[in-house]
Amino acid sequence: MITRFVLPRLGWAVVTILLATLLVFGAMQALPGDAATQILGQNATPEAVATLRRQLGLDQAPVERFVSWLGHALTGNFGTSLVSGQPVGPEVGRARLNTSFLAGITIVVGFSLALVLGLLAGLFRDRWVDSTISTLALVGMSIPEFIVATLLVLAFSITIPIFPAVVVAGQNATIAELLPAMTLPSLSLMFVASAYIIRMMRTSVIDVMETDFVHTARLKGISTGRLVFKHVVPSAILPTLNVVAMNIAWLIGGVVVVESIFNYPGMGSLMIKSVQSRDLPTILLITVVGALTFVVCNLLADLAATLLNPRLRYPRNAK
Amino acid sequence: MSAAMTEELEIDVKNLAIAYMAGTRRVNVLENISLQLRTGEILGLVGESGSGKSTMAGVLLASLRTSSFVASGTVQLGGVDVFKLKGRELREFRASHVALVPQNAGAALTPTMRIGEQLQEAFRLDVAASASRESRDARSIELLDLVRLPNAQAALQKYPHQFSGGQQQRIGIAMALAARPRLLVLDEPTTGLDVVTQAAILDTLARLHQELGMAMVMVSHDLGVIDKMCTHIAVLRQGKVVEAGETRKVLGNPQHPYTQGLLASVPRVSVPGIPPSLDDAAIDAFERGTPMPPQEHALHERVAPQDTASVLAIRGLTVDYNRRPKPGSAPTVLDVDLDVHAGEIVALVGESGSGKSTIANVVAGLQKRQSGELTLGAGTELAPAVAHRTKAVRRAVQIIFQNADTSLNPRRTVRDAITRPLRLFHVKGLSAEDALVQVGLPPNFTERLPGQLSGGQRQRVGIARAVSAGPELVLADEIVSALDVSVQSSILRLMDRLARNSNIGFLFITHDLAVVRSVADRVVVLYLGRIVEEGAVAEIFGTVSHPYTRLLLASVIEVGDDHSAMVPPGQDEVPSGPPAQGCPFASRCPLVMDVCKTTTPPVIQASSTHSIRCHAPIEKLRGD
Amino acid sequence: MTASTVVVERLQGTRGFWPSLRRVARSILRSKPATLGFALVILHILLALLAPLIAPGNPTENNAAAVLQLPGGPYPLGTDTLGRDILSRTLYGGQYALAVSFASTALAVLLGTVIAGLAAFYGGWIDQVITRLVDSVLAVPAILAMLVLVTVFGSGPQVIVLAVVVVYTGGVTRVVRAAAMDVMPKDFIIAARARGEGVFYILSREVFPNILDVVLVEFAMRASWVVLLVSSLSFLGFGANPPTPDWGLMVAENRSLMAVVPLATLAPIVFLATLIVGLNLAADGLAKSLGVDRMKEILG
Repeated sequence: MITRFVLPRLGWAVVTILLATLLVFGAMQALPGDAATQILGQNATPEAVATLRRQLGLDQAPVERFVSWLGHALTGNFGTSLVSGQPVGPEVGRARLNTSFLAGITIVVGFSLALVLGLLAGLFRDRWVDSTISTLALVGMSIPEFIVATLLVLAFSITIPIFPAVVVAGQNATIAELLPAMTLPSLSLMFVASAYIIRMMRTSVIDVMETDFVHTARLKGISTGRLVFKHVVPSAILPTLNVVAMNIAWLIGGVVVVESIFNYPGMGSLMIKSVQSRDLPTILLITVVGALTFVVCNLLADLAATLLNPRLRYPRNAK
Repeated sequence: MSAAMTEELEIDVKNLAIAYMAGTRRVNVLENISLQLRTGEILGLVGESGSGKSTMAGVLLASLRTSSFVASGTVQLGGVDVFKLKGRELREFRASHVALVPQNAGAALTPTMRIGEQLQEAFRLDVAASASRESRDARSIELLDLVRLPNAQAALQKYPHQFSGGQQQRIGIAMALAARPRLLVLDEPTTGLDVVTQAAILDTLARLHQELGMAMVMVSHDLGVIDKMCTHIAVLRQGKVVEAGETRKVLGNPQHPYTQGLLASVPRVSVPGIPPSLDDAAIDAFERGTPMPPQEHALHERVAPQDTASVLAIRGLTVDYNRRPKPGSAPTVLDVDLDVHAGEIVALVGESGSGKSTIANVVAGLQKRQSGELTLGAGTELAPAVAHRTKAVRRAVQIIFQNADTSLNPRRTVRDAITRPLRLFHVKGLSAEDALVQVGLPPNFTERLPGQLSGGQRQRVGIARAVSAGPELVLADEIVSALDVSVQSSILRLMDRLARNSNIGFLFITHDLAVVRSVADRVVVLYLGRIVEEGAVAEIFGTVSHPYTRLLLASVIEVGDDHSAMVPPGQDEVPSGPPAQGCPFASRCPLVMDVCKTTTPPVIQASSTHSIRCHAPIEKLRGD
Repeated sequence: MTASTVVVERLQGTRGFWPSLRRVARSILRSKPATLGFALVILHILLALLAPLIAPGNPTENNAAAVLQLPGGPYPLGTDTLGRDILSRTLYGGQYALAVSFASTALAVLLGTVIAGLAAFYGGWIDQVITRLVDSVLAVPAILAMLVLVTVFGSGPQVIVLAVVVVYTGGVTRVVRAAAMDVMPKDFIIAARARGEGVFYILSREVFPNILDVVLVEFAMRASWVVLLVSSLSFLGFGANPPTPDWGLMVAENRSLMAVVPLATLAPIVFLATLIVGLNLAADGLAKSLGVDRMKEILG
């Protein structure tokens, strides 16, 4: 099963990541001006720019540069930042770690809560429980993260000063130092990301409740608890997994705004900085990481769906 | 379990009316229903679509669709008013007293739970059986053995999708019986199953009834099934009971014109000719009390055309879905020869998996073939793909589909559907209205959408679309299988008329032998993609038959039959694919010999037009 | 927001454009949330169209003398740090938001539908290639793609439109392809193929009328996401440039002064939130009355 299932998908995953990286690389080539002009500024002499270019290796043909980057990347060497001169790998790695923690809290707390809320909304369809939850979900979906963040800061940092509004620890802070500062950012993220999961789970639960097999199970006279947890939930969760995977992938993007507001030293902030400064190696690695996350999440969702779906686990052999 | 000493009725329905609100209007689903049933009796609820029979089945479990409610009357089961039960009482009642075997058993089994666990849920109120793991398993296996499911022990751990349709139906029955209900309700228990599987399941149900003695209610549109299984019958039409009583009496001597018309409109295997169709308007008139217009009673017997030109000639058709042949596998369709002549109706008979649809798709140019020549009319070669065929060829070969819901574009009007092929094939002088009249529809239907037509009307539009362009050959793929029986005969008469008047050759694909008897000229019997028998219709239904044809004929259940003959156990298990060599029927044939498993059977000519492919000598193929 | 107040009505019952429109409109009006949604959207459109007539002041002209005024007099909502009237800026902000969002959504939906139709029709390797390409584009984090594109091409509204199309066409393709794949195996398509009909006919006359409802709901949902995305971009400084009155930009400019002049931040927030909520409610209502399966919508 592993070979038939996992390997082809892994193969496609690699192709997808490569293509994505290529696309971004190609786009960056269209930029007027590059890192050299950014660093030296508007008034640099052409000679100075050319020298810096040669030093940074920017004078090679694009195809050569991509291939050589690719070659180095496969050995784990992602080059040095055109801005800071530091190796890109560790820099992105640190940022990644910080963002992962933020995302991690959001996923574990937020998504679990969302699944439960979605289940409740579906079970108590059209009653006040459902109305409340659905309204909250609708609001969550409709308000951009920067507004949620801004309002949260207004509420919990300015009006009632509990949580810090801005992270001051800086680039190399440890996780422990960052923890209290993660509350508001992750709340902002949770509010928005969970909304889709709640709605999806609700729809899924409603659909499953109307199937023939749930109807039959109800006619067997089993208790409601058993009906919900053994008959409804396993089937309802399957389609929701896809949305969960997509939301995890979306977090990569949503995190940008939140990190920017709270000055959180994560991938989002790094992304903005590196695009502004045309720091190609960093951008490429961020793309790789982003695409990798997206692809891995989809793969895991597929895998989970297969494991949970008996139809896929045991292909039909009439016996 | 034995016949109760009390006089208590198992079912006592008094003046029941069920309705729902559509906006501010009240729509009645069931009106004025009164029924009674005693322990050990079996009630058959007969009706066509829209009769309310499925609602009635749900009523017996106090289960209504969400917007429906009880407008009046009571339903008492074993003395208990079921609609007064709520919550815990209702659940316990459902768990112990009454059980439902739903129409599509496969969809009624939870796909994420193992069979064993689902069965055990059903008898969890039986304390003794649920006490320990061993007792639970033992009881589950006992139930599966009861319904003759093979390999019960292994089956416990499997999931629903790992079983075939017939097996899922048996599991559904086992689940319903698990709690030893006093009343078993079955909603169309065999619809959608192959005729042989259907016969086997009904035998099982009859045996169960004998052993367990509970009361049963069987909902069906099939009068033959009701005649075989039920002691009592109630005929439903548009939510009302038009006639009820003992089955033999009602079906032997029906009083109400609807029952009479229904019985008359069912085609029979033993009677050649297309039955008259049911006249709804006349029945409505009767119900209102106004005099009924005279009814048509005669069968229309078809006369086969003689010596007409060939319209389709297939030689040596082989279709294989596997790109690279695997060892032990065989092509889906092998070496098929087939002829259709102008004005002729050739029936291609087979159950699901026989390859009949594959053959139709190849003729239509929608499916690739591995080998074989297809010739149209006077010698035009049919190219394998539609794209390589000329417009004239495409015009000459048309298709009519089974499912009227999907054969017409729901967003396009009737006029659009009909005029498109007319324009495409440059047919002049024929308007959409003319085409509709040709198929017996009013010309003002042109502006309607498919959603505004009944099933029979949609099928006629599909026919109009196919024949208005003037084809030579029409592929009719199960065109009456999805229609109510009372409507079927009018479509069959239409097909007969078109074949006669327009000289169209029909390749009529079907699994229903009675329909074949009523309308076909010649029959080709297909099993697992290989022809096993072909001949004129009277010969196929005659005394000399291929063992498979004989099995099919024996499995047909009709009103007035002697229902005592049973299908031998194991006969209903269809193999998943044809064998690599030898006769395809070898695994199920009662006359099987060693040579059948290794060598392709030779052709036996029972007459100049009747051929059978079998190793057995012809004497053995003669029936009684 | 609750589920069941809109009765599902199928368009099949009515033929012709205007009767169908009336039927859909009637079923939407039967649901309070859906009506609210459409009302909000229409309100925003009206306000944006009439902005030049009803705005009290000039949205982009700095006025050093009138900095940080409290609401009252010529400035109904007060002024911001550069002396500009908040109400005027908010009203004109609607023009930018609606024009950019609707234009880019319409383009993305159009392009996505065409690609999806081709993928569903041809199937086989063409479908595979298209799906893989779409997955690759979707794999690039949306914000990153937009940041890159904006940095490359500058930040005018045309660039934003292009960026949105690049980022969202893939999602539309996925959803519409799924809907088209449901229609393709149906018998009336087989009948058309057997007649030898071509790609263009089958896609436009047979398939499209049956997926129109999915496309419409996609449009409504995507429009809400696009408004959100565009405002977030502006907030980050990658979208509209000052002095353009863009809601996201306004929030970014004024949020540090929330304690002093809250309306400068709250006015754009309220407008933005009500527009997106309205679009979402309208999308829901539309989905209900057209009978579209919202699960597939969200999955896209």
